[in-house]
Amino acid sequence: MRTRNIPFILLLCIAIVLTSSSTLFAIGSGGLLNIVPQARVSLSGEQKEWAVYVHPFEGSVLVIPNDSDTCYALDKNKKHAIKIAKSSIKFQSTGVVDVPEDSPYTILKYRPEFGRLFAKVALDDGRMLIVDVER
Amino acid sequence: MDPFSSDTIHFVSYLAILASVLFYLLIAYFNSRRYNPNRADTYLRYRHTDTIESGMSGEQLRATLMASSFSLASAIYVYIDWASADGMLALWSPITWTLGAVVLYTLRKRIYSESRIAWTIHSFLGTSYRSNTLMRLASLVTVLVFLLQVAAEVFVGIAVLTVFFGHQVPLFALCIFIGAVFIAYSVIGGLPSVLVTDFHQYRIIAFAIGVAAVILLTSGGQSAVDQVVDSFSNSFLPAGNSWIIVLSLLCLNIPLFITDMSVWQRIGATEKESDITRGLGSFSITLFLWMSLLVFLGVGFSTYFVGFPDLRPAQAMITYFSDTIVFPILLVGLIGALLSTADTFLISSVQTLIVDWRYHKQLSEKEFDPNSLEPVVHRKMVQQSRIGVLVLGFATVIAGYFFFTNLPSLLDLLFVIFGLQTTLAPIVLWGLLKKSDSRDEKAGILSIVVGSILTIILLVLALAGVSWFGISTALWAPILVLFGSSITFFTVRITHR
Repeated sequence: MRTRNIPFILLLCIAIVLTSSSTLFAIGSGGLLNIVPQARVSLSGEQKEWAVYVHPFEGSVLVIPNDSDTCYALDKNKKHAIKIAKSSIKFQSTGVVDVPEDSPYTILKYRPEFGRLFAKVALDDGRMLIVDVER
Repeated sequence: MDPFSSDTIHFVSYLAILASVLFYLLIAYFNSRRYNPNRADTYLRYRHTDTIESGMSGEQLRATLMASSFSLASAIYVYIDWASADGMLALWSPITWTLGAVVLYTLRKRIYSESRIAWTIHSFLGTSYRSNTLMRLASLVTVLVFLLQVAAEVFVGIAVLTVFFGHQVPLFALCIFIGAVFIAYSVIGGLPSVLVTDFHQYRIIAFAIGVAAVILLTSGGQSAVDQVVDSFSNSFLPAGNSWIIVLSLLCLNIPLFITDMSVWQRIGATEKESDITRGLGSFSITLFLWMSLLVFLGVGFSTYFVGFPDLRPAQAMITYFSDTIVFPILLVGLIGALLSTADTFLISSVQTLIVDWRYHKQLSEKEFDPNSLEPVVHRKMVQQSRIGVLVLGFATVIAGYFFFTNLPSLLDLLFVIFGLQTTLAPIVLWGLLKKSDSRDEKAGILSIVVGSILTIILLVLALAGVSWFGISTALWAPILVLFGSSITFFTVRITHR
């Protein structure tokens, strides 16, 4: 075996391990999300009383406004943000929602950013949606 | 500054791009000092002379062919887009491409012996059919195909760099930047520089795609595998109109390598026949594996890249990495893919024009022996080649900027460009099988004329939005051009004997 091939073989091994251990539970693929009561939502600096749900494994975030039929989901795996109708979301029990796989959605122009205690995305109209959690 | 903030990643990306560009220019400079810059056969053919210790090895041959195959336009941008839309049907492209590499492998010994004598594939055709007209027509086809391919690379380069630079830098400036890099090192070092940079570019591209694939696999690799498996059963076997696309791919890819002037150039530049066998054998396998990986990534992660407003799937793939440290690596790899294809086609076009048009008479009088040429002729050839690289290079950059934004999808365009090249298939194959002579001249000329006219008609129809059986006329180009030129060649050949 040639020495210069070692990095590529190493990459291949890592890829095989990661492939077998990484399953996608992204929003729109049927995963269940749990409510995060302590999360705060702001839209271009204005505080909103909107509900925030998060996927337990991957950390994708769903924001459900109380004053509009359009919800926003920030998908951490696919690194995109989507707009989805509130009617598509199934409220399973208190504090748990499901976004069914075949729900129609629109991808927003800008990709979301995820930090340890925050997630944010610029909406198509330029307003910044920020979700953060105080420890 | 946060170690992984977008500012940091952008800064590192700038540094990485500049470092890679500097690296290529330095390679060109130092390489040009290794050999006699006034020898035309060294500048244009990388031939063994007293100043170059040896030609290419088998490994270098594989690397340079792979680097050109990793074209940013056809093999990366289009594959990701196409696989996102049509699933595993796109895998037929690597399959048929590999079949083309196997055909090249089968005919390698004949191509090697012919390319060691003739300076270009067209000179070989001219000698085989004893016709200067046929040689010149064939060389025009090559030059047109290659320069359009360079322009397509520039167009895709703009699309990629726009994602990175945003709209802060004007598109025209991006074009000039891309063009200036590959034109500069091609002017400095000629074919030797192009081949040596290809060797390094291949490693950089492979590493970048490998790292990007690993990062993607961390975000749903198992689901991607499921998606690929599903797509295999749903879309791999062509159904309905898809058969036409597969047939078109077969017609396009099987004769692609043996009619490619740049492939002849590189086979001729290889030191020994055993190196060709080793290099082309491993190239066939490597080509299939890497190109299939690109299709798998496109299919497996298609839901990640499709649906963004104003972004093609391939562009969305780049933005996916924009907040990770993989971004600079990927960017340098993609630019390497662009440069490695554009430089190859540019230097081949210039060689074709200089050898087949400007100096053909002098070369044929000396039986194409470079040692019989006067030193002053060598110097003039190198000088004019450098001017050719400069002028044609910038002309294609401008063409890429102005024309391609007005054309339909890039996939359609590439089918037309390479469809034109298939017009050379019957005459090249007949010549390689040593069955051609001066009585076939008329058949050869007419086959090129018919193939070229068909290409123009199909391009015009495609631009007008015409489709047959639901398939754009552009995608019909390889089938109709190959059949049209083959039928013309053999019919005229039989009737005129």
